[in-house]
Amino acid sequence: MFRLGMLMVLAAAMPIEAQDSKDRPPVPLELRIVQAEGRDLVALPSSAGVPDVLQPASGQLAAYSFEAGSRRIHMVEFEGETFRAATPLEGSRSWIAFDPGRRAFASLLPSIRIELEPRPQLDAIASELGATGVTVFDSLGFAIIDLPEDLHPAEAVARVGDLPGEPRAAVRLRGPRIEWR
Amino acid sequence: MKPDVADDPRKRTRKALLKTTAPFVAALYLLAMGGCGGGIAESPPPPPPATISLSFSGNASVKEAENPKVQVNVNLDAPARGSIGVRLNFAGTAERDRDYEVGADSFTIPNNATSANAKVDVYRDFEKEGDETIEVSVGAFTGRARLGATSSVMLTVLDGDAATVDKTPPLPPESGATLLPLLFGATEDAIILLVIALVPPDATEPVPLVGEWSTDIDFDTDVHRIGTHEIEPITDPLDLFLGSLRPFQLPLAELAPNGHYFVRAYLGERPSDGLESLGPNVYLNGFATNGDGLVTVRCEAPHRAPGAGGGDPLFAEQWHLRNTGQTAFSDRAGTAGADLRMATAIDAGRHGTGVKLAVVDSGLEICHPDLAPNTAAGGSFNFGFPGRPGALPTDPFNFSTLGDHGTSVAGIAAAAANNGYGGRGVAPEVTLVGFNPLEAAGGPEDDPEAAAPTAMLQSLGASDGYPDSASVDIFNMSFGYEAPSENAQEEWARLFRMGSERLRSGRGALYVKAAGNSFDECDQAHPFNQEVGCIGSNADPDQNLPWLTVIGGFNADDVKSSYSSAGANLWVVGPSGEDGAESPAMITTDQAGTRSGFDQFVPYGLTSDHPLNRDGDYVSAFGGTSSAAPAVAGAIAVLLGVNPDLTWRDVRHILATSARMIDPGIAEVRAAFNGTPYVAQHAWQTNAAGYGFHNWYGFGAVDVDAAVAMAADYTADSLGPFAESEWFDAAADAEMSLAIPDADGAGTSATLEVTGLPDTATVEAVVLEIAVEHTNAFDLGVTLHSPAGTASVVNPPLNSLLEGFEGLRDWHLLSNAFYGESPNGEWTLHVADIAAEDTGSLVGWRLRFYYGEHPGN
Repeated sequence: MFRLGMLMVLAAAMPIEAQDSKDRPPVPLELRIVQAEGRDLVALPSSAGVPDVLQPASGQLAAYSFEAGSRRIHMVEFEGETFRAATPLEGSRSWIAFDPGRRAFASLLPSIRIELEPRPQLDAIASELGATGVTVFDSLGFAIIDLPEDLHPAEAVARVGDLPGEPRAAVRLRGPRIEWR
Repeated sequence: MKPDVADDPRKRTRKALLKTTAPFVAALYLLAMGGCGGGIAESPPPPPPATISLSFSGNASVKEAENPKVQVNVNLDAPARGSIGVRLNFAGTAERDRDYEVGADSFTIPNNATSANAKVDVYRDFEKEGDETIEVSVGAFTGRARLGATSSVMLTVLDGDAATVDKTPPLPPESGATLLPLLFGATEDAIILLVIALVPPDATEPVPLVGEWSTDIDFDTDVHRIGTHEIEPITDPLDLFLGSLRPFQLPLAELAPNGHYFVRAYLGERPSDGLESLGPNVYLNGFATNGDGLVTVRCEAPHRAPGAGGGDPLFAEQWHLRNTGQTAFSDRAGTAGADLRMATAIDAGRHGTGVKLAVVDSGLEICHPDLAPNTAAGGSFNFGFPGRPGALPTDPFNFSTLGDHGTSVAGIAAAAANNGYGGRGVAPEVTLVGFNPLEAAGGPEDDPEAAAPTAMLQSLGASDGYPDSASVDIFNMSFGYEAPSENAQEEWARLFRMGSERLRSGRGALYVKAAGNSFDECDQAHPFNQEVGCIGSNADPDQNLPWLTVIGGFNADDVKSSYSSAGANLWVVGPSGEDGAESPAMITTDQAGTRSGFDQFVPYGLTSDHPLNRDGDYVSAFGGTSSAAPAVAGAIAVLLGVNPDLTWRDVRHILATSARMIDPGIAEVRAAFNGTPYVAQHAWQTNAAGYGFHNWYGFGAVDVDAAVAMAADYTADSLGPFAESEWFDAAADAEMSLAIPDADGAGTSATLEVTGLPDTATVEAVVLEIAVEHTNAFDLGVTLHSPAGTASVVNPPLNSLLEGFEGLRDWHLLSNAFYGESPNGEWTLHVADIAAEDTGSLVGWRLRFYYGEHPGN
């Protein structure tokens, strides 16, 4: 059946309510910072089975992510406001990040961008990530790597950065739906 | 009768003087009187002092809502003898400098003049004040004058409607339940319909979600159930966004070959009015089966006999090509001359020959009788073919039979001429290709939105293989999205920059973009919304990139189409019409056949009952700025056909220079807030380089014949090198925080000195980046002023997309209004908050210039 990946839904500044995860023990994880569109974003897990609660990353921002039924709830406390979002756990992942600069969640595409200068070994990158597709745009100076379903784009970027030559990679933000005019 | 000098006290004085002073004093007096050889003559008696009276030019009663500018005339009943100084007093119930402004209240009437005048600028506001008065009277005066009987006049200002900005959140749809289509897919053996159902928490019981199919588009007969789901009312706030996803699967085995079928889903009660029941809780689509009983997913050329008379039978009604005042199958006629002004181009055979145009859209019916002659064999690309059994990679066929947006867009630019079919395109010999990037997905279960961004890059010039978009000259982009305070993504910026620099052998491809249809897309929060619109064209992030040519729409009466989004980032406007029912819309190609296409929905105009549309291949109710863009794209093809060496900048320069001003009398949109007038939209302005600009029209309506004439003699690549400046930052070394007065037209202003750009630089676009911390950006209007004094509203207030949005976050806003001016000098930014309650501060701004270094400067 059709996958739920596109259904990542954002809801900003909603009040924290009692959640059915409150009885679960918090498991600390490191929040991963990724760059997109020149801004730093805090990547959040979306997969099923990821530990439930993320510890505060700093005094300014705290993020919580837990499973509730068929979805994963994400809450970010930032500068006195609470932002909440949900991603479905069924089907392909809905990768999500919090953008402090815009005070909103952002959805990530299941692909990453690799800069072609300095010349990276795209084959090696694709192999390392288990890429499902590679599209090279020589004229634009980058390539798009399509990721396997369960690989978080932020994790992919980090792994690419660890490869020889430290290729430059970036996550891609999912934009609003395009409409015919 | 000669008057007795003794009666005149001044003459008596003169005589006394002559009698009692020494001779040299008498000589001096004579000199002073202007005579030296005439001796002492008897002078004519001087006229009496002039009498001063006041009057208004026009009525003594004006409407505040019209922002009237009233002239007060200071009249003399005879020419002034020597200068006369007059001071006017202003009184009355209206408050000076809050309800009105006086240009100057003290002035001099020169010698021999008989009048002078003062200007009173009455402010429109939205306060409930009742009618007010402005009493003007003559105060002190000097010189030889006396007051007349009408030394005081009264102006009555009739109060306008009171209004406050309504920030009440819009009500949910009346029906409550909402259905969002997510997917209409075809597999080898089934049609898949995927919808998101939203049932609000106030529903007391589960609501049925029903899927049906029929051979009747109205679902009055032959209705079959696909399935039913019970949708629970949503109580979790998050689910209100997430909704309930439900699939319907219609096995093709249930259907006959060579049929036309419709599927629909509805939430709640069964719709009873067929097509008229379409609303937020009903979703409808259609498809056809081929002889094998599979879904028709490739273009099959219909058999059509050309009209006996040849030519283009619908041309006479295509007002956008030659507006003779025809009705274009609507209820009323347009205005003769409100068109592309291309009679000469048509007669001269300027058809865009040799130019390649890509329609990047929902699809392209490459076998359509009126498009097939121009489609490049194998040049199009179908991104949906991997997941659509039977589809061809070079055939971007849209298997939905309820209209193909791309096919109709294509016809406006590229329908063939003189073939005996339908109408004709603006460039009827252009080479046409189509790409459908939003269909990109590996299969019907894959997320098309994940694949579309890459497919878009491949469709818009970054792919020279398969598909080949790198060989395209003009890209038509009749699509977009709107997002509050968002900027274009880096990949798109790199794409358009590359396309403008490298494609067409370095001359640059043209990216022609529909501005948007959101002018009237809101509950009117305030009367301003009717004048400056609801959502501006700047709300589409990509349209603030300098490489896009953004196109608004005008109608058959030569004024803005009612829906066409306005903004400083427009370049020109093209024809797009209105609804096609009451007044003309666009006549163009539709999916071929009477059981396919938009014409099935339209019970008026050019239906398939009409003798000129028996085969159902055309529609007369197409519109939107989706229509304006291909009209201009076609015009550009004509220009490139005339002069293939033109660069992308040359083309834009020619369009801007040759555009015609329409709606010349459109008024400035202004009102006073807290007693200070604020301009939310300027009237037509001519900038310092001589270019007229208006936010509704950009540089004006495309005039093809004028542009062709200019292009024919134009020296290509003569605008000098194109350059992009660094950011000029207003507060690079300092924290900025300028409070914006609440509900006050005064706003806050900041200046920025731009220096160091070449003396030869002329602006081609200016991009403002602005940061505002504010509790509701809906309140904010942003205006940029150039060193030469040109003002450009880059974000009008009450932009409904910003309603409830906190601040402007390094938002990029582009203006074309300064085209041709020098970038050097002092720029001024003005930010006003015109609605009460929410507050904030300007915390940063900077400017970037895209300019040419014109050698002639």
